[in-house]
Amino acid sequence: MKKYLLSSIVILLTMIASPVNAQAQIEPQSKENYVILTKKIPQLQPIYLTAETLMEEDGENFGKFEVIICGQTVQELKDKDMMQEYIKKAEKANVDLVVCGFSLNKFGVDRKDISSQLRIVENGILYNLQLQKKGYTSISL
Amino acid sequence: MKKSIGILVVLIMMSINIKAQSTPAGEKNNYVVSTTKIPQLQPIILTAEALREEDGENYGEFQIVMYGPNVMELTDKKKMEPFTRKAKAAGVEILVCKISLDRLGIEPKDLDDYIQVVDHAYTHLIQLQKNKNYYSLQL
Repeated sequence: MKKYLLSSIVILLTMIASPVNAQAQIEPQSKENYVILTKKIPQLQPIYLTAETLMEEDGENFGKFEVIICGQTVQELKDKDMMQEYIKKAEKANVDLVVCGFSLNKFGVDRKDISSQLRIVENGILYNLQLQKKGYTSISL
Repeated sequence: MKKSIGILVVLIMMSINIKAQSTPAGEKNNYVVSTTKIPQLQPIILTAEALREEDGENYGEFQIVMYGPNVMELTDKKKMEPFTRKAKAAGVEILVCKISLDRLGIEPKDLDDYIQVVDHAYTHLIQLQKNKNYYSLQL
């Protein structure tokens, strides 16, 4: 009889303990992540400043900061000298640059003509909403 | 007797646990995308289709809110037909801002039947985010 009581207490304890475990596992994901969708390359400049400010503000909680470049402005990505500057600054500011593949197709930009350091996603709109679902804070410019 | 009480307690704990887990899954994902350009409907509808597949049962509503001078093109029913057909098939609602219509002198009856009118695009967008937890994107 005592055995049963003991075992049920053990089970009870594990039941109580397990939700705590589950919460602890969520903890690392609770970092602050950000996504900005922009249609103008020169906006990258103030976006980097924003990222730097947030990184300072969030400290250890600063997660990812992604910028999705969409629209006709993707034609400017072909200017590799100009973009190299932006890519360098992005790395310094911990910003990931992402390019919308639909926009590249629509505005006739060959993927070979842009820096290989730029990540391409097929659909920038979809990508933004998927990140929001993951809890990213989002604005679009 | 003690044994059965122990089992009962465990069962109660389990059921509480299951309930706690099932609540967040019950919330559906709703989306709203606003745009001022008609050709943007194409990638937006593709986005809706992809999210519907991704979300499965959790897929809620998907709205497109249009505003600005380009809404004039919405009166071209022939041009709009492929968009409204695809939107219908993907369960996407298309809404247009009444202020933009008024400014261009467009009557709601000039629009495709599938297109709904909202009083004010920005207010509508803010309300969806505030009251219904819509994921929102402005293009």
